Amino acid sequence: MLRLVDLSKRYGSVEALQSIDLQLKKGKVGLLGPNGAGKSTLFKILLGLVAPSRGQVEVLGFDAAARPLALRERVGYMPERDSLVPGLDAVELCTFAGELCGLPPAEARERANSVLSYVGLDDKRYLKVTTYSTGQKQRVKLAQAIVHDPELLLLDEPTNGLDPRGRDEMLALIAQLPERRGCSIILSSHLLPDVEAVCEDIVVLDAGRLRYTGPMAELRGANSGGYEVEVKADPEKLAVLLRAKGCEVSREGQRLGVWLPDGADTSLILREATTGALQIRHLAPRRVSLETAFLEVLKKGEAA
Amino acid sequence: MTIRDLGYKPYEGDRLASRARQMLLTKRSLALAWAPGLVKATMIVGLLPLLVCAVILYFKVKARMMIMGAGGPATADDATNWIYYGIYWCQLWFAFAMSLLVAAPAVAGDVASGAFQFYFARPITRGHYAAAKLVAAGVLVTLVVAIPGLLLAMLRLGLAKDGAEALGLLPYVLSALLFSVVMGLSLTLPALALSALTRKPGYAQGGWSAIFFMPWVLGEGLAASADMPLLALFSLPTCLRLVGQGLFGIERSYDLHILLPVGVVVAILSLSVWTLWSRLSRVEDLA
Repeated sequence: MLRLVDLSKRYGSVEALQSIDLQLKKGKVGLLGPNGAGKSTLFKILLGLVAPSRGQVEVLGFDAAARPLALRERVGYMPERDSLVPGLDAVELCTFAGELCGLPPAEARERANSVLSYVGLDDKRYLKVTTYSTGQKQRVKLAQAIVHDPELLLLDEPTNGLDPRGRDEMLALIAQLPERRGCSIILSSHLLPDVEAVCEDIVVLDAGRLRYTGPMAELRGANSGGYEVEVKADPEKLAVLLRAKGCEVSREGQRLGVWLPDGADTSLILREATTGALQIRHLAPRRVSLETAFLEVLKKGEAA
Repeated sequence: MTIRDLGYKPYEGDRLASRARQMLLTKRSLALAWAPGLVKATMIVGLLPLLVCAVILYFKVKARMMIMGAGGPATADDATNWIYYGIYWCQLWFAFAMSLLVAAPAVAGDVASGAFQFYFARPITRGHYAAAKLVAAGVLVTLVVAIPGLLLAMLRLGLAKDGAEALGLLPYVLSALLFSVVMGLSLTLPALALSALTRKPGYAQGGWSAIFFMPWVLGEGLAASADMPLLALFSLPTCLRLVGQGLFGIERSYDLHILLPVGVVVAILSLSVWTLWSRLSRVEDLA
């Protein structure tokens, strides 16, 4: 779906993106990074709006710098800011969006009605978009981004300004898009729970550099490097035994967080439990929250 | 929330060509520019001075015919001057008002509302966008001038006493058309260029008013007080007046070669095109 080779973008003396090599396959990808990480610049480059200073960008098989128009016919973009045309109602706006992306007028109108129904605006679709509430504007922004049947959807902070219920509804709409409409999504958000709710893969950018790319489950597991252990009775006894074997152990209620020494595997835990005549009820790789994993990635990046 | 999916089928047909997209964008820009009530009111009220000029022109022609018919001296046909007066002195104000309404806020308004981002997230080039905005605003501004100008020229043609005189008056129709187009472009392009320099439509409108009126007052004032006609060329309206006088063969307000005001108008238009184009090339700054 996406291939970046040695991608760099410089604005004067500021290097917004630095030597990014990235390959993404179809699916639901979360783009994470603190403010100024280069997420917006990356989106603009993926849309072919900004030319990279160095490197290659291939999106859906198109060279973004050489064929930006062909690319934008197949990519949908939901920007963070309002991007509506005043004076139009939602059907006119979505039809116009579809036609600008090359759909014939009748097809564009039919699809406009369909996507407005999908985002829950069917009874309000003939109202001027400027009269919409924040939640309705977010929905119509999503509708105009998918009306032309894009293969890739770029979503920039799609839940901005939404109340908790509206946020859940928006995330549900987004999460089902790949299954229902066959498009891939790249979701940029500073709200980690949003990304956690929707995405399978993660890209972490920080200060213009790529810090992580891969499955979210791997990020949450890989960064922990430890295991969750629950025993039937006396977890402290097992903790003492494991520490004696060089493990790092933390107590989390009835459970233990265990980090094994180099070269050891889970058989060490099982052995020590047998030694202490303790019955193990649960043993699994320790999962951290996405937030913790994200912060650890940033910390490692800073240290490097 | 229950998602109401009416069904989905992938689009496998052909996509419209770039030219169709240009037409679509231009038509939509024109419709959006025409939509506000104030724009329609300006266009309608702008036709009223036409009636006054038409009545004067009619009586001037008839009076001249009566005098000549009664064996009086053959006087110069100054009735045709009223085509120029109608276009310049009457319609200039309405055309300027129209440019304030449709050209000055065109790009800045799109940036402020986010429409700019809407367009450029799609397969739209800056050429498509600039052409659509120029045509939409330019057509409306030019029509304010051209409709009365052409109607006055046609009236004068209709009042000709015979075919030979009508043939001799034909160039005035062309002059009216050409002058209207020059005025329309001269009032649209600089306003559009200013619009691309700011994110606030009000700033573009204020700036355009200042650029239009201040050099006019200062230029003409200094030219008169210092007796230096060249100073009058700082003003776009003055240059347009001299161009119009040249086109209609009327004695010019300042004793300057016609190429001088023409050169200033061309320079202003070129600078405007360059400003608009270079600003739109930095789409990422505006979006």
